[in-house]
Amino acid sequence: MAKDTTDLLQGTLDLLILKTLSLEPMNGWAISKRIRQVSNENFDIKQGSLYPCLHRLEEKQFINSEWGTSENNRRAKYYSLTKLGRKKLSTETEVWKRFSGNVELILQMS
Amino acid sequence: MLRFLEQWFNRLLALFRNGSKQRELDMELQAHIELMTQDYIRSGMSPEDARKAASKHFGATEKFKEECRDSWGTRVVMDLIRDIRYSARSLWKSKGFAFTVIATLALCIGANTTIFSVLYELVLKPLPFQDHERIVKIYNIPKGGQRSDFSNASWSQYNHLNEQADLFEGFVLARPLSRTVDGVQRDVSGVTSDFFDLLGVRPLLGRFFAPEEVHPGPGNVAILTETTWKNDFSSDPNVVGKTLQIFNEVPYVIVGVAPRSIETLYPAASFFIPFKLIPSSLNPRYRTMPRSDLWAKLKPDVSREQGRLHLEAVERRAIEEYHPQYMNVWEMNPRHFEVDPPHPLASSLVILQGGTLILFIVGGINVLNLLLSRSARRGAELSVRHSFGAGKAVLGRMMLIESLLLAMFGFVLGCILAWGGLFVFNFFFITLFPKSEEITLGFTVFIWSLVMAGAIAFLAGLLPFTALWGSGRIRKTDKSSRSSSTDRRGRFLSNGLVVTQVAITITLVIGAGLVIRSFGNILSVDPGFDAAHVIKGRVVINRVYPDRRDWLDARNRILYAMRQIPGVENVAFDLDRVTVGQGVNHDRFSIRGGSANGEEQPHALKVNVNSEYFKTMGIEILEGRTFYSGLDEFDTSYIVDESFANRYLEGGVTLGAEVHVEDPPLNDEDWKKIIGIARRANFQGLESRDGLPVVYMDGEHRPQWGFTILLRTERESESVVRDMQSKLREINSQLILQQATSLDKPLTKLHMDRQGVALLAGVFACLALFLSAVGIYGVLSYDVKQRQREIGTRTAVGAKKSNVLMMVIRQGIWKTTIGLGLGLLASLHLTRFLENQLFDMAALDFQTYFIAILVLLLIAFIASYLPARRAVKVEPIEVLRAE
Repeated sequence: MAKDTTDLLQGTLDLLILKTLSLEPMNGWAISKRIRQVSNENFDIKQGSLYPCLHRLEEKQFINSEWGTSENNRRAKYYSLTKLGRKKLSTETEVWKRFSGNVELILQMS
Repeated sequence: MLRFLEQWFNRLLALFRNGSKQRELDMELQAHIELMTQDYIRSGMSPEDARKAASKHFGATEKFKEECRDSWGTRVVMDLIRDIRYSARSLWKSKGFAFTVIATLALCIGANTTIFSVLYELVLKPLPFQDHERIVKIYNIPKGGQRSDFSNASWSQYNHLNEQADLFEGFVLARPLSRTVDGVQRDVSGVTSDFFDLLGVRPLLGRFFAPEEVHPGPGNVAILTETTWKNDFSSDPNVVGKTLQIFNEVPYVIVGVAPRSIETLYPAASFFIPFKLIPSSLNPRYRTMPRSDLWAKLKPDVSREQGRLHLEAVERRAIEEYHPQYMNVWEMNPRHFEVDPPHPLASSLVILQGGTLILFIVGGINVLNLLLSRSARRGAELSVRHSFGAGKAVLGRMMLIESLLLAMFGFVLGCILAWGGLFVFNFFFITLFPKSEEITLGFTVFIWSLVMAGAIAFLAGLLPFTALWGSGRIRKTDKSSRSSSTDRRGRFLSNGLVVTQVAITITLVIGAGLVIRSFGNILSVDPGFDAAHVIKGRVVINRVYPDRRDWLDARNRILYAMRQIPGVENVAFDLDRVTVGQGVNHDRFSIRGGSANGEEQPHALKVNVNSEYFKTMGIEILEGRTFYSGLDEFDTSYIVDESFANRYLEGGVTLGAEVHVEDPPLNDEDWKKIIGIARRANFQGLESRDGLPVVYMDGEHRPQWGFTILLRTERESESVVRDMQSKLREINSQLILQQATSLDKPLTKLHMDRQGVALLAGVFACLALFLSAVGIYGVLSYDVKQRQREIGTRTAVGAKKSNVLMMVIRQGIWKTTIGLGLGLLASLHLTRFLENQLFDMAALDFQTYFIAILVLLLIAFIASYLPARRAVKVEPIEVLRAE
């Protein structure tokens, strides 16, 4: 599996971020940490991809941001899912499932 | 849509918050690094190492900061500003082009906005009342009469309709009057007590009239208009209860103030008084009475046409049921109810609006053509930009912004022009309709013009671009395609546009030609009287001499005094305002032996005059004589005008016929002899030539409460008027001379609207001709430029200069001819709408058509000749070298 997000399919990063945020509001560092952990260190999302993506999602009103305090008392910007974002997550998940299933089908055929 | 707006709003806000967002991003990234460092420390690194590792892992921030900024959306706004600046600069570089486009747009938008402002204010604007679409004014118009002949409702009709016409919520009466308040003559409206209720207005102060206040009796009350309250009483909150001193009447107590909305119905009135019920007016014989307005409100969901039919039915039933003796009469004269008549200028304005719309299309086509040829010239520039990565959307947006900029300037200038146009219009308008309010540029009209400017901007921006893009020239970088004919699409488009332009122009030119010729026809009508040296003035005597028995004597004394004024040749009077074009006293006549045109009871205006009237007015007696004067009794004979004789009398202008007002007399000796036939005098303006005929009666022994004095004199009118006033004052200091001027002054006003329409139609037609000429010229000269290589080659292989010249001119004429053909077909249909506006001519006027075609061909020839001459100058060697 690719080590970097640049190799991730376009749009996949959006999906990963939305999924991660669906559990609880998080700051940028925590998001990248969580994705790394969950993917068994396979996905290491660089800040250069993460932040433009977060800002884009915010502009599209899928997520909200708010300044808050981390567990070790550091002020950081926390992102949370909006209603629109939740809807987007469920449709995108559906799309992804269908897409990956189709890709798998084709791969098995040959 | 809402989200879209919100997004744009946020973008604009973001533009202002750009700085703070930038700082926020920095802080966010800083926090990220620190959180990372802390995690590294927790996993056992030294603080120093942790910080280094974090920074290293984080990498360079500038690039993705940029990416973040992109996602904020301010980018779009910044791009837009850059595009606007770019477009403005490129327009500045081709000032001639920009100026032509802006001037054309300004002219077209200005003309449209001006005319539309007037049309909207006078015709289209709804009344400012609740359920205004249901409020109508009801007219009784006699058969064969003109609009100015109408007589209106009376108490009898008002009461009856209120009882019987159940498709209406109610009817109210109103009557414009005049009263002298503190020595100043003021316009007043007499209204029934339900007037304000029907219109749904509430008093600003106090109350409106109570039903019993319309009944005759003591106790006069008045309601001020808001304007009078403001101007004359400085908005005094305690005005209710004060009194108005009205000349010769018991003081009026002010009981309330009406809101301004009511002034749209009677703009001249300064206050309202109750419409006093005169018991005699309940007499069904007086079902119609001069100068009373009947307003009504339709019930919901009843159309005007339903209302009109219903009224006619009710009216017919009323005659059958209540006045069977008049049945024959009424059936002979079915009254046409005209609901909600438009302003007298309405039809002229609609015609002019049609003209300006055509002008707008012609101008718009020019703008489109100019932008087409400009975009074709810029093919190379666009294709360079395209190869550097600007996509269709970016290039399209750039072109659109350019045309939007042009349209915006055109719109602003157009509005300024319209403002000036309205200023000029108001000057004439107030002269023509002295009691009207000035017309200003309203919001609705403003929006309409904005939409027009926007539409032309989108068309002129996107159409040339799509044509250019479709031709494929932008996407190819091949340079040789520039001069080949790959942009056939653009040329086809602009040729089509020129043809359309010519077609539309010819309809406007023909329309204007018809209007102008018709105006000429009107001017060539003989007025039938000589107003140049006649001075008129009106005297009302019943307020000074309340007793009817004094009236005759008073009038004779006044006329005698007038004769004493030096320089006065003749003195006459008119008891019925016919001479000043306001005659409303018309009647049916019976003619012994029947009317010549088969009409059993023809209509005519009645006017009571004295024997000197014809001499004073310069009206020729064609046959017979005038009345005898100085008799002790009425001269019971009549004098009729030419029009009466020609239309109704057997044998035309010959004496001897006998007539009688209304029904034939019971005794044969009561028939009235016609002793004279006078030349037709068109008192209501030259167009009234075919209006109601006039019957002159001897008024010398008829007492009347007011009359019009007519003096013939060579002296200058102002000093005579002064003499007339002093003579009147000598007789009784309370007598007032009203509306005293020379008679031809109001007459010249009568044609001012026609004159204005003819003038403006002519101006619009000339503008359209000019714009078409520019259009033909523009397209041909662009063509010539495009075909330089071809022309050069032709010349090189021996084509003569005259051949080249003819080739280009032929092209111009050819396009014009196609346009003319189409335009003539359209004109045949469109001019039919003008038909009832034309005087003494058919809409299919050969002469007008012929001249219009000739003018257009001539102009097309000139417009083609100029580019053709340039084509001749093409040097083959130059062209080939350029290749």
